[in-house]
Amino acid sequence: MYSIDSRSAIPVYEQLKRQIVLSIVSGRLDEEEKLPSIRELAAALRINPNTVAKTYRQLETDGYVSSRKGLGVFISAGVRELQSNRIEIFEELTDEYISKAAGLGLNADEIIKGLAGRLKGEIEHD
Amino acid sequence: MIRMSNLSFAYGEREILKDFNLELNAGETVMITGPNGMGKSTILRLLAGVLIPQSGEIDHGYPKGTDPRQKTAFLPDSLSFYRSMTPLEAAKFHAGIFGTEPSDLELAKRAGVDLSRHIYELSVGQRVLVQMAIILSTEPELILIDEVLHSVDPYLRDILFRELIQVMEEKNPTVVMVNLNFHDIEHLADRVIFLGRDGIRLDESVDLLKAKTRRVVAEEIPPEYPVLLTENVMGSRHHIVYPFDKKIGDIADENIREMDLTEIMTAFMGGEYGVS
Amino acid sequence: MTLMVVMPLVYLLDSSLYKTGVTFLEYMVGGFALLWMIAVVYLAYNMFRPEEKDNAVEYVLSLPIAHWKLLIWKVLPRVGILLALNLLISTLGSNNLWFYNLSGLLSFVVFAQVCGFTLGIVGRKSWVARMMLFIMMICVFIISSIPPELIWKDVVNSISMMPYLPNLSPMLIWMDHVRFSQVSYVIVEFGFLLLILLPLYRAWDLKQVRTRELSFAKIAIVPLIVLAFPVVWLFSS
Repeated sequence: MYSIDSRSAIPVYEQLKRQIVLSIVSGRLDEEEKLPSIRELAAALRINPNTVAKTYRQLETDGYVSSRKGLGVFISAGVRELQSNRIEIFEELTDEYISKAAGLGLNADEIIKGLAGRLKGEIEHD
Repeated sequence: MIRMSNLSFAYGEREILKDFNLELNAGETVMITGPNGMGKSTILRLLAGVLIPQSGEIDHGYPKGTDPRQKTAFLPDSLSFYRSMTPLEAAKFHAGIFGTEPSDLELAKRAGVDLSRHIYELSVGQRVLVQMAIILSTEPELILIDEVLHSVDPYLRDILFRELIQVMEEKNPTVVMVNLNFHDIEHLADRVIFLGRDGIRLDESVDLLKAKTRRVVAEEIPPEYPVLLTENVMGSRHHIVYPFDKKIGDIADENIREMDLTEIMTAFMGGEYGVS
Repeated sequence: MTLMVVMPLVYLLDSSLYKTGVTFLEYMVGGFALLWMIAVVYLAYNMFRPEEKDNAVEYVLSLPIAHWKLLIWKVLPRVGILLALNLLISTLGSNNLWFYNLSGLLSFVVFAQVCGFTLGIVGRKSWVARMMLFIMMICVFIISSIPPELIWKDVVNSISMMPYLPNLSPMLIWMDHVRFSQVSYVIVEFGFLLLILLPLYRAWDLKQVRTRELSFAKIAIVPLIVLAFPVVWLFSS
């Protein structure tokens, strides 16, 4: 479900955090759903449990999850509705896309045109 | 905090460590790597109390008079054990010495080990798991693992790491591993120490190391870049730069690439063999 | 073990033994006497052989047991067995096996164990080790035939007769006066045990055989010279 990019210079806990936030905001993880225990996630990804703990702590500070003593870490209610989260992640994804597209040598107009075309196709397809 | 100060150790005439210093923080997971013969196993053995340094001292942070080996688990690359015992007998023996409960050998059972057979009858992978299960059962605060994982198949390695991660999560011990295979534990280690001909060549947190190392693809690169290694790869010249601070000169972003730990360590190793 | 089979055969075949009136029992016991002396040193020499065979040396060193405890746990049972065997053989016949007294016997056993063990840690495969083992066995054998009191008195005497060395005759008088009791010899022997073993226990570790020999030579040379004193003075007197 989650994968760590070994090549990336982004620290593991940061990568994991982003992926979990993405899962939450995109709806793949429901509200009130329990995240895997630190031990399970660390073992599955073969990462340091302290790293997972750090990720969960950070998520809690940012308000995405709350930890219930003895039970685990659960996704907070009302998180999906938080527009600010959606927008922040969307902006990040878009920036990434734009820089990659520009790397192909396309200019702004070409990118917008191409994007509009694809979107139309995607939406009609749905 | 474990402090190794001014350690010197020689195997007879052959000096391995001279005035060696290292500090390990509690709960840290450290990977020690480097070419063979530089002293990696020696450091583990000194930490395990198996070897006594000729000069210098090791402070495990315990009150004076306590034996640090009581709280240390050591898996040597010789897989030293009473191999004429069966795993059950060995577990009982080990627990008896440490004063703890014998391991239930769950780990070994999951590896399909027949617990009534003698240890010398088992395969290397099974032996590693048996020994691992037994040494972890004494609730150690320091876990030392030498280069044993290379001869263990990926499935067994997976169960082994699951067990290790479980212990790490429960007890938060200090873990020191000597490893030449970085793929296995690159996300497990907090810190990597590279031991070269002239002592510790690199001592960095894994995150920082990845942030500070780049592969720059260019025919010529500005001399300000501290280059570790240069090599020809499929017609283009690759320069491994460490420490990488910011982009200098006119090189496209896509030609400054991030690297995984195996690539970074390979570059460091290359430096040791005189390639540059 | 092969000796146990060979010896009766030799007895049967060698007619000269019959003629001198040596009984089978006496012969066997005498043979065992020699064997026992060799066994004393040899058992110590092979003290850690089970660990070496089992590839357990590094493991044992990583256990939370102090080196000296490890050694004592190995030495004590061996000493016990050897003393028991000695007692058994003595009750069967031969006189010269039961030493002058218990302390003499103990000192001999301990001394021989020390010799054997120190050699054992040097290594087994080299010619140096084998030669030294042989020499040690001879020394041990010779020393075992001397009453302990004589050795010490001889040593002290010779020292006090040397020029420039302190006059130790008060010590001789004291030895007579106090009748330098039997127990004290045991204490002195154990003292030597510590003298050799304590610095040497560091040499018993994972180092290669060659390096252990060198460490052994460097550390043990002084105590060994001291121990060789009685042998040297024996030959010269």
